[in-house]
Amino acid sequence: MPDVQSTSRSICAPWPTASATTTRPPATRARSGWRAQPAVGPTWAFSHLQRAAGRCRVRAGELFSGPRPWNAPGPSGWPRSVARQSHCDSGMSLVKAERAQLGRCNMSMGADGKNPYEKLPARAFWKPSVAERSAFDLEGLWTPKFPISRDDRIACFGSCFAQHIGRALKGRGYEWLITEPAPPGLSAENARRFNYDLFTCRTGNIYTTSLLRQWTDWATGSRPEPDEVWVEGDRAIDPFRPRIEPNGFESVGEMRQSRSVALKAFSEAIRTATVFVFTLGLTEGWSSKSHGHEYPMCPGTAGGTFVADEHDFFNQRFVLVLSNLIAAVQAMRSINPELKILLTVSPVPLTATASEQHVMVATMRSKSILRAVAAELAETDTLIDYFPSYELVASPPLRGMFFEPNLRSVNPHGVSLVMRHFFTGLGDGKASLPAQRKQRAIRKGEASAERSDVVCEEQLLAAFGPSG
Amino acid sequence: MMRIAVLGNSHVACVRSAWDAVRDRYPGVHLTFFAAGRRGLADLLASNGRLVPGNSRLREILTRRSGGVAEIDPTKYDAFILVGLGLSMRRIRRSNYSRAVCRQSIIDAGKSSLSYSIAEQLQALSTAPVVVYANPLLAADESSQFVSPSVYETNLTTLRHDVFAPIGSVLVEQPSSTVVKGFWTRPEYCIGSAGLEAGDGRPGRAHGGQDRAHMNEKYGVLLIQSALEGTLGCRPKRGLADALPPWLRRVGSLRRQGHRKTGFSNSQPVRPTSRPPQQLGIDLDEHPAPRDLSA
Repeated sequence: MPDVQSTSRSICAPWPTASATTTRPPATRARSGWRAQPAVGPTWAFSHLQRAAGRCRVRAGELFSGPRPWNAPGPSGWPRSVARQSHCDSGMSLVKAERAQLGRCNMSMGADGKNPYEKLPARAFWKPSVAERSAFDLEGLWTPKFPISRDDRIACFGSCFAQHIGRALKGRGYEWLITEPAPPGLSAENARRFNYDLFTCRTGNIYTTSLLRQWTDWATGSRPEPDEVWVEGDRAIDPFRPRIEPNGFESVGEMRQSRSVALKAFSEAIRTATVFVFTLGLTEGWSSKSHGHEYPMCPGTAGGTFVADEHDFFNQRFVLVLSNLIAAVQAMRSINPELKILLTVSPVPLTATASEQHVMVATMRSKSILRAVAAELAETDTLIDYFPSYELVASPPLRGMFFEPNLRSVNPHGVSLVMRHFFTGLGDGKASLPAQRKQRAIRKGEASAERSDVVCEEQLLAAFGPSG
Repeated sequence: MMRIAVLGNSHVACVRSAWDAVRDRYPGVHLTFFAAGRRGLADLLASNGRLVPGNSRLREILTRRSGGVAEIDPTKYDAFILVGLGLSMRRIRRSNYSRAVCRQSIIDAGKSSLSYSIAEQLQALSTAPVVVYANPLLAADESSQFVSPSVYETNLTTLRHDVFAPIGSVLVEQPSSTVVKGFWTRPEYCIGSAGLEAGDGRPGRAHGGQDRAHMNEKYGVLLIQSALEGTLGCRPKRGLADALPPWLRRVGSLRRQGHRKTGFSNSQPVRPTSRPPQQLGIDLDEHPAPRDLSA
C-alpha cells in the first residue's frame, strides 16, 4: 500500500509547505520588496495564503503594498498586464481594498432607495434562471473577460476534458493550435491511439497544476528534464507520458527524442498561442522522493513499478495548487507576456483516490479546491478567465444527466451543451455547418465513437479496484 | 495468350504509350487499359462478379480508353497491373516520430489509397495475380537533397508486408535504375511526360516542364519490362532491344557510343506528343529485368 500519510510534502522546494496554511501568521511581516498589511478580520487567512503562494498576482495594493514583481515588470515596477489593471493606490489598506471590491460589485445602496438585490438581473436569482428553466435553457453563465476569435491561436492542455474543447474549437473553425502534428497519412483513429491531436502537443494528460508547472519549467529550461526511464522488456516507457506510445518506445534513445520533440512543441505552443486553455483535473499525484519530479500516473499502474520507498503520494491543498498554477503562468508569461489564459475545471470525478477518503468525498475536495484556485486567479488577473464547464455538467440542477451510466464520463450531450455555452458566450452561438452536422449525428445516436475519443489514462486506475 | 488488365490514373499514361512501343516484343500478351484521372476509378463498383462504372461519365471514359470495354470482368484476365492510384511513398522525418508511428502512418496511407481498395476488390473477385506499382518518386531537380535509401526501403517493406501481402497482392518497386539520390526519380524519365490519351486517337496533353510527378514513355518501358518479365514471368519473344522500334534501338546505340544526356534539369522543351522522338536515351542493356517478387 502506498504511504498516504505524507500528504504535507511539498513537491518542490521552495514551494510552500501545506503546514504553512495551518499556522496563523504574525500580524505584519516585512520582506524584501513587499510588505503585508496588518491582518484585519477574517481576511488574514486569505492574506496569508497570498503570501504563501509567494507570487500571487493580486491587484496592486489590494492586499499587499509595495511592488511584488510577478512577471516582466512594466515601468511601474509591476508586470505590464498588472499595471494596466491596477486601479488601487499602492498604499491602500486591506479594509479600503475590501470596500473598493464591494464598490466594484455595485452592491452599495443607490440614491433611489432600492436595495442592491432589487437592481440585480434575473440571472442573479436561482428561481428564474435555474429552477424554472430546463437544463438546456440555461443562459448567461459565462461572460468572457476577453474576446476569443477565429484569428486566435488556441492551445489546449490539461485533464481529459480539455480534449473536447480543442476538438470543438476546430469544428467551429477556430484555430486549435497543434504544434506537434501527426505524420501525414496517419488515420484519425491511429492518431488518437498515438496521442496526436488530443492536446496541442503530445504531453498526455496534465492533471495537476504542479504537472503543468513541471512542463513549463522543462520548456523554459529552468529545471532539467529527468533522466528517468521505465524499461519493460525490450520497450522503453516515458514515466511522464506513460501511455503516449501504446506499446512503448523501441529504445531509450527514441523515448528521449520523442520527449524532446514534445517539449519543443510545448514551448512553441506557449510562444505562439494567443489563448492557453487549461483544464484543472486533480489535486492528487505521485512524485519521486529522491528526485522530486511528479508522475502523471502512479508508477505501477500505466507503466513502471511502484516502489514504496521511492514513490510518494501527495494530495495538494489550496495554497500549493494555487502557487503551482501561478508559477506555471509566470513561466509561460516569461515567454509570451500577452498570453491569455482560460481555466476550466474538469467535471469528471476521480476514478480512484489514494487519500484514504471515500472517493466521492475526495472528488468533492479536489474539485472544490481546483474551482477555488481557478476563481482566485480569474478574479485577480484580467488576462485569466474561467469558463464554467464544471458547473454545466456537475451542478445539482443538471441532475447528473450529462454523465454516462458510470456516473463519471461526460456524455456527448453534456460536451455539446458545454461547448454551446462556450460559443454563445463568445457571441458565436450559431454553429457552423460542420458543427450542425456533428450535433445532428449526436442526436441520431452516432456518438458512440465520440465517447471513445477521449484518452484518459486515469481510468486505468479502475482496473485496480475490487471489481476491476 | 496472356490477358492483362492495367488499371490506373494519370500515372498509367506512360505505360499506355510505352506499350505501343514494345508490344511486338510480347506477342503472347494482351494489355487492356482501364484508366481515369485522379480518383476516377473510385467509382468502380463490384456487381455480379464484375467491377462496373458507378456513373455514366466513368463508363464513357473507360469505354474510350480500353477500346470498347466498360466493365472489368476479372474472369477474363490472367493478371492485373495497378499503376499509381494514390499510392505514394512517404518521407517522414524519423527524428520527429517513433518507428511505430512512422510504420503506422505508412500502413494507413497505403490502406486509404485507391490502389489498395481496387486491389482488394479484385482479389475478392479473382485469384489472378494483382501487381501494384506506386506513384513514381518525384523527379529530382537541382534542389533535391539526398535521402537515405532506407526511407524508400522502409516504405516498400511496410507496404508489401502489412498492406498488400495480406490481401494477396504484390507491390513492386519502381525500376531501381530510375532512382537517384535515394528517394527521387532520375529527371530524364520525367522529360516530355504527357497525360492520359483521350481514347480518340489524339495524344495526351503534355504535362510541361514543371511537372515532376509524371513520367514519360521511357519510364513506361521499364515498368512494363519489370511487370511482365520480372513479376509475371512473361518471356520476350526475342531480345528486348530487337523488339524496339528502330528509333529506340538507334538511341541505345548512341548511348553506348557516349552520347549520354547529363544533368538533372527537366526544363527541356515540351514535346506535344507522348512518343519521344530521337533522344530517348534508353539502354536496355543497363536495365536487367528485376527479380521475380512473386516467387
